[in-house]
Amino acid sequence: MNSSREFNLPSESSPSDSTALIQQSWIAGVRAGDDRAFETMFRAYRDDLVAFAESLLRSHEAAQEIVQDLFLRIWQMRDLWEPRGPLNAYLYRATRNRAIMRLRQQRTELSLHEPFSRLGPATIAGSVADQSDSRVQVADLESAISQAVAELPARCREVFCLSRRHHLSNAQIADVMQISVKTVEVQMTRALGHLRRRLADWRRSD
Amino acid sequence: MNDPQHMDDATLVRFLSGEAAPDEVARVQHWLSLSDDHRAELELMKIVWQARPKINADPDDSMWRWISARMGESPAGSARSSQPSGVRPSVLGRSWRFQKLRSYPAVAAAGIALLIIGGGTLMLRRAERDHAQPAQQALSTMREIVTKRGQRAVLDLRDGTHVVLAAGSRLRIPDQFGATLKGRDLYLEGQAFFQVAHDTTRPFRVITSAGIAQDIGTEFLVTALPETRGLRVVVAEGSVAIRGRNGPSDTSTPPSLHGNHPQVLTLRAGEMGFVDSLGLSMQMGRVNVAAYTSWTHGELVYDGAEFGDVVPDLMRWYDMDITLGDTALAHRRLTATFSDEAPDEMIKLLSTALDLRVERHGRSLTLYPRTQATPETSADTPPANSQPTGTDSQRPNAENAS
Repeated sequence: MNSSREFNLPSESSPSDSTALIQQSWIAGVRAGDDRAFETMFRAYRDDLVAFAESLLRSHEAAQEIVQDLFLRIWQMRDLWEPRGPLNAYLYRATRNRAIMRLRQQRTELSLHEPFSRLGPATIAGSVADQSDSRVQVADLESAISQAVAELPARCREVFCLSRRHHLSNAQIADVMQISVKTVEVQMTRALGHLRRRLADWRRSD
Repeated sequence: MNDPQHMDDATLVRFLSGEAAPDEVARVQHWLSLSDDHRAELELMKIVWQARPKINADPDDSMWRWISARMGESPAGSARSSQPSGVRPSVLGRSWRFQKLRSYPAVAAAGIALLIIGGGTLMLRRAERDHAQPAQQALSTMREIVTKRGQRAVLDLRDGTHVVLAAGSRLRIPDQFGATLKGRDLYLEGQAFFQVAHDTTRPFRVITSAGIAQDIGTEFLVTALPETRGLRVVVAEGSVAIRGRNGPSDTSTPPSLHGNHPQVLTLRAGEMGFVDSLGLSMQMGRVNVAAYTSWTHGELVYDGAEFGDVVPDLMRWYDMDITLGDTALAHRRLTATFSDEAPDEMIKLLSTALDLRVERHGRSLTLYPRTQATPETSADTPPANSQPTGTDSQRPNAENAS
């Protein structure tokens, strides 16, 4: 609607002091009732938060609802709004809590800690190698990567995505997921190990 | 590890993230020099490590339009419209109301965001320490949040903890809650579900008259209703330590779960623990957690529960007075889910499920078994000795496991 308005988005590569300053100014603006600061903040985080919520909820619409609901709530509660810690970690944490509540609401049997591999494409390169004709070749690297990521156990995948797709530091991930930094490191190592093995298959089949 | 042909995942993670120590960088570079295959693998991993291009999550900007259309209005309508279709907002059915927060500076001071579901106004007040506190503590003042019957409240506390407070409950929050490096204590009468922002340096505890629940993990339900006759804790995720408040000496010193209290029970996800009202004995067992926490999203679920246990819940949720015309009814088993029914619907559902005859005067209901032609014939069922509305003490044993 209003993409002409450009703002300083948080620098992705370096969560620097200036990022913290920008975040502080947004928070101060929202608390003071500045709807432009609010809109800027929303647009800065919308895509990432929806993508994150979608990865947990497996529904784009539900993810949108959760995120828009969160932001409306922030606006309505702006007088009292005091995010603890860095803004992005706060927003991811809040989104995650809402997603978990929503999952519980849906009373799906789907546990967050259950591997999602069964949800991914059933066949990957090499697994049906004996039938060379029908062998499924993952053509492009992009889908090979996303398939390999989708195969990670849910918790491992969440850590990996928060780190590599959402640029959160290990400490921030630990904060968002309420786990230790050590656990984050272990999960990242596990994720890389899986991706190395999977993509080695892909390289050989190429 | 010492095999130069092998590069371990942990080192490679640090290398890719630019966090490797100099000797690790040297080791990776040596590994790369050994083989083209290693270089190809690293290039591939670098691609994996890069973020995917951002997708536009909302190309038609409907999210912002949804938000901006509601920014001016009072919060009442918005939550309802945010509900996905088919999921109705509340068991209470009648209306949703959010409390206007700005009218409560006390809440602001305590750093609490608050949402009320159900009609009426929520009671919020400052509780001085001479109030009959479950435990006296050095803190002089607290905020008090009281839900009436027919209300629920959703709170986001300053430390990031999310609380759903059930109808007919009272939660006291010390002014300093979450503000200091000391522990985080809340005082509860009634029932609440906690999703705790875990912090090992600041233990999170819920203190009730019978016992204390300390968070070791993340999500749990605490029930200290009058009919509970004690403290009941159901753990949804993580683990919780509970213990009784053994003896009056407790009030002089702040209770602690650490130290020389042998009577501590650690509950894990899927388990329920119970402390009796004297804070002396404890028991635990496995339960169907969903049946206990379903109310947090607006459903009351019963699976073979004794009707006598159900009645107090219904009274709180529907804000009605329910009397059993025949005490034998208290022992009938009910399997039902109440989600968003109006009171009339609830009554109809109930009378069908249990074959009841209902006499209604306004908000007062009296229930009789329909199959029983005359009251005299009730002699063939043994008389129940419990109060019709006070049988929840049996609940910890009634695991709803069937």
